[in-house]
Amino acid sequence: MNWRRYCASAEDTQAAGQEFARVLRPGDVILLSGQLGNGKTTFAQGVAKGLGVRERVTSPTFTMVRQHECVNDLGISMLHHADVYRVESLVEVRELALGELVEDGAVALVEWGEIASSVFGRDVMNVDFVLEEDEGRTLVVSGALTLDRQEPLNQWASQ
Amino acid sequence: MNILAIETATPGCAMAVRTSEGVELELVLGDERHHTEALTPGIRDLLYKVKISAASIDRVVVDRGPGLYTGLRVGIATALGFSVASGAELVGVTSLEVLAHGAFNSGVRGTLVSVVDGRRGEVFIQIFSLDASVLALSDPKVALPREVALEWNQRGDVVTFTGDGAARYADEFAGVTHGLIFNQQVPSPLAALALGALRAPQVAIVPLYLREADAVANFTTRQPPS
Ligand SMILES: Nc1ncnc2c1ncn2[C@@H]1O[C@H](COP(=O)(O)OP(=O)(O)OP(=O)(O)O)[C@@H](O)[C@H]1O
Ligand SMILES: [Mg+2]
Repeated sequence: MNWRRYCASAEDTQAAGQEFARVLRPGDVILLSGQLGNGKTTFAQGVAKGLGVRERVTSPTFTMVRQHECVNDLGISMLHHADVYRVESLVEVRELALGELVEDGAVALVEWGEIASSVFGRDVMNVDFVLEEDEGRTLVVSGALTLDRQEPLNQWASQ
Repeated sequence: MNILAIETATPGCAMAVRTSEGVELELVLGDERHHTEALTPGIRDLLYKVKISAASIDRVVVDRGPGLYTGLRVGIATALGFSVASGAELVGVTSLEVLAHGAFNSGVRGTLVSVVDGRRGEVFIQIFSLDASVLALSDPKVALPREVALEWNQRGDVVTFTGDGAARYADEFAGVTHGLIFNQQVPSPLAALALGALRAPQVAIVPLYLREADAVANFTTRQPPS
């Protein structure tokens, strides 16, 4: 089962991210996948906004991961925003220990996360960013974690 | 021989000591995942109580997993620290076998499945036979709780599940027809110590993660910049 949402512009991608925050619960790990430049960071910026992150969210391509404190009523107090595009081995991804860090009331968004999906295990959500011919993007949400999020996901996809 | 055991494979932070005079003591701290802050002061307190110095530790037994990655990192690094500082011997044990021995020491007999929480819906498991002694019947592996429960339902054998994974997924495991749960959240550091006391020391302790094998292949799916 998957949920799709078409985004005609970067602003739409950000709005999709912002509204996606309502799908999230503490402990979630979300793997963002799609070719270079397909909108993963733009989406993450939207999620950060939806989670009440005050500071500017930039691409963590070079730092691998950034932590952002959140203020919201979702019980989520920290956003771990990672980008594993540059990792050479899975050991580096494991070193980040994201799957365990999120247990402290946090969520993790991992750009290029699907290349290291074996580190994260089964209970993740995948957001796929597909480039369309008109330069818009279709976001496709799937994964085992969606099973108990059908209601908010239906709502998210219908916007 | 003074032996120290370090147990950090689960959210609990635990340690045990046995002195050359045969005095044994263990310390099991809560399940708060604060290994970084809790382990070293815990060891200090423990050694103080049995009146030996850190420098007099001859051997360190450490749980090398599988389990909580952040915990294993702290545990193994601390064990290495002892070995570097005072030349202590190192011995690694696995969380799954320590759970089996802990259950055995508490009188559990028959077929046992050690289940360690692997996070994100997965568990690490290994099957043991607990009879006159503890015998491993399978290799450690990653599994889904539901599939493990299903498999044992189909086998129909009497089986005991133990470990923090058995507790977390008690709903699944309690549903197994002839399944029992032996409550044991933290692998016993004294069981780890007893096990490690009998083994030959190792040159290096390598953490057991179990999630490595299929790892590298996925990297070929990463497309080069276009
Ligand atoms: N729906 C959209 N339609 C058109 N342009 C978009 C859309 N979404 C994002 N963009 C634009 O695409 C560009 C790249 O976006 P972004 O940096 O978010 O991609 P990325 O997937 O994070 O890339 P990388 O793989 O390098 O991390 C940005 O200029 C952004 O504004
Ligand atoms: Mg990016």
